[in-house]
Formats: sequence, structure tokens, C-alpha cells
Amino acid sequence: MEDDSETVAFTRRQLLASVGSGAAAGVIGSAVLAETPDSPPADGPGPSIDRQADGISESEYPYAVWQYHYNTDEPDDIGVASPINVVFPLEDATFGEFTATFERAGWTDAPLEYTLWAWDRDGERYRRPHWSSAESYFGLGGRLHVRVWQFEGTASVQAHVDSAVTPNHTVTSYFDAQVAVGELFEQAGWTVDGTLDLENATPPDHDGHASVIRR
Amino acid sequence: MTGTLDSPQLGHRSGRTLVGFVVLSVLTAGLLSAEFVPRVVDDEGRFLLWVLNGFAGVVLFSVLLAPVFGVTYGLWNGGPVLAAAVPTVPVLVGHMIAAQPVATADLSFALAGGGAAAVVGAVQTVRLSDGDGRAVRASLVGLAIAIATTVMAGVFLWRLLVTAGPHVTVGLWSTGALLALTLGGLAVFAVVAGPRE
Repeated sequence: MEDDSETVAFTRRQLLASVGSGAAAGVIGSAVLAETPDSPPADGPGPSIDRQADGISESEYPYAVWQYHYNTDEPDDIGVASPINVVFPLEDATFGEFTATFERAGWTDAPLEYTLWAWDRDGERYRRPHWSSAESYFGLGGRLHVRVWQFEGTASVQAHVDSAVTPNHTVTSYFDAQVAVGELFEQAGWTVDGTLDLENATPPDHDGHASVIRR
Repeated sequence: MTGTLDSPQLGHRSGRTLVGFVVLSVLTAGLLSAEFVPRVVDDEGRFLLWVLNGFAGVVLFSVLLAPVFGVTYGLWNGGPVLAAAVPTVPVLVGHMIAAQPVATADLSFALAGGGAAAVVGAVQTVRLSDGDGRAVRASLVGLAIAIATTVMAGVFLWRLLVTAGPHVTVGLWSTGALLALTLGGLAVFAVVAGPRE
């Protein structure tokens, strides 16, 4: 170990300066980003659903009933993917007030997401979401995620829990996200006013009833 | 360019440093493509959007693996600054696109990955330095980055353990594992590069 002194290229003072500047930068960075996204947990496991229902007609309400994905086995290359599980009549609130509630909870309104569609009964065509939000842009380790359509002055929300990216996002729960969105809006002074039966029960845990949230 | 690539903060051998830059560039360019290309496709372009969904999935998984890429690069070529950039820059770019100034689980994970990659890069910079003072001093920059990112990731993780729902458990455990790796790396750095008088 005689040549140890030749490998010494910095002094104890330089080492301490490095450690100190790193720690200071870390503390400052932690203080700048002081908030975390609001992610209300669900009370418990939702219902166990093992079969997808047919859903009511898309023309029944101003809300969408399903979220659709690309599927070559179906007409128009588009098939049912997942259920709309929260709806907002928005009689006494604007769409901007609705979206601001997510943003105030620290959610992003520009998450990285797969493109999906909902049926616009008025325009008679499938549309991509008008707005989306999630706890985080990637959701690498899992996240709450909503896609939203604004039809006829209402908002139709598909809320779900995304799994970690292992290797893709998959839906682990609709129920937990439905409860979380309700909680988020109740905290902001809105009211969960019962449910609307869209008959769109879907595994693993959506019973076909969408929460109705009003201000 | 060769002069830039020769910096020991970026890597020991310039050819390998170039590979590191290519990995970082591909990750970032892939992310920007996954974000912006679908915006110019019409609603009716369902097949193309389906293909782009697949591409977004590849990008997501690549960003998840970026800490592995960063640590591997640090082991292979030192260069703590570039090693730390590989896991952190794509997620920081995502946060900028998202305009989300909050401490998310994504950010905590990426910073923990950056810290692990930085400390591995710093240790390797010392080991590969062959007594070159410039290289060994560069390792101090890596040490500072590793400490800064680890402090932030640790604080964010602590807050998220209180506020986040059970659905991010996998992400928080992964972050904790990366922080443990970094602490181990810091101990190794102290042994390999500690000042001797």
C-alpha cells in the first residue's frame, strides 16, 4: 500500500465540500417540491365481478357508457375496453371548475397515456378524451388515472388504477379509483349524489353503477 | 466533440461515453415522440394510434428500466454525471411536459435511480482513474450528485409513504431498493476514494 499517497487526488476539505454541496442541493430541492399528489385510498376491496355486462345503449344518457379501444374483430375496428364509472351533470359547475379540482390535488392534466375513445351520441362518432389527468406523468410504479369526455355539458369519467409498468400499465381496479375520485371531490366541497346504473359491470370490480357527482 | 466526450465526469473511454449519450438521446427522443406524434394523428387514424400506443408502452418500460441502464453505464464506463442523467433526464422531461411541480412517485424513483447510477459511476471513475487527479476529482462531482438526488428521493419517498395510496407500493419499494443500493455505493466510495493522509 506504499503508493496510496499517489492515488490521493483530493483533500478532506474537498470531500467535505462535495458532501456538503450535495446535501444542501438535496435539501433545497426537497423544499422547492413540498407537495405530493393527493391520492385518497379506497375503504376496502370492491365487488368481485367476473363477467363483463352488455351496458345500456350509448344513446340513453348524455354520458358515455364505455371507453373503447382499437379491435379488428369489431365493427369499425373499435371494441369495448372499460366502463365509464363517474359522471358529472355539471348543472351548477363549469368544466373548468371540474378540471381545476384535479389540478389543485396535484395531479397532472397531461399524463402519458394510451389513446382510447368514447361514443359521442350527439356527433355520432367516436372521440378521443377531451381531457385526462393522473397522479403522475408516467405512473411507473402505479397511479390513479382518469380520461374524461365532455358531452352535452356533462363530464363522463373513466377512472382506474394503473398497475406499475411491468411491462405495461394494466387496470388493477376500477372501484378504488371511483372511490378516490369521489373522495377528491368531496374534499373540495362537491357531493357524491348516489349512482347511475349504466349496466356496464366489468371485471375485476366495477358493478355497473357510475357515481354521480354534483357541486 | 471528442474533447467533450473525454471528460471523466461523462465517461472513462470516449467511445463508451458516446454510447451513453446515444442511450440517453434515444430515451428522450422516444419519450417526446410518444407524447407529441399522437397529437397530429386524426381521431379516425385508429390503426396508427394503436401502433403508437404500443410505442408508448415501449417508452414507458424503457423509462422504468433507465436506472438499470444508468447503473450499468456507470459500472462500464464511470462517468457519474452521464450515468445519473440516464434515469433522471427522461423523467424530468416528462415532469416538464406534465407541468406538475409536485413530488411524484415517478420523480422519487428517477432521482433514486440517478443517485445509484451516480455513485456507481463515481466509484468506477476512481477505480479506472489510474491515479489521474482530474478523474478522481471528477468523482467528487458524482458524489455530490449522488447525495443531492438521494436526499431528495428519500424525502419524497418519506412523504409519499404517508400520502400515497396502496396502488403505488411497487414504485415505492423499487425506490427504496435503489436508495439502499446508493447507500451501499457511498460506503464503497468511502473505502475506495477516502482521503489518505
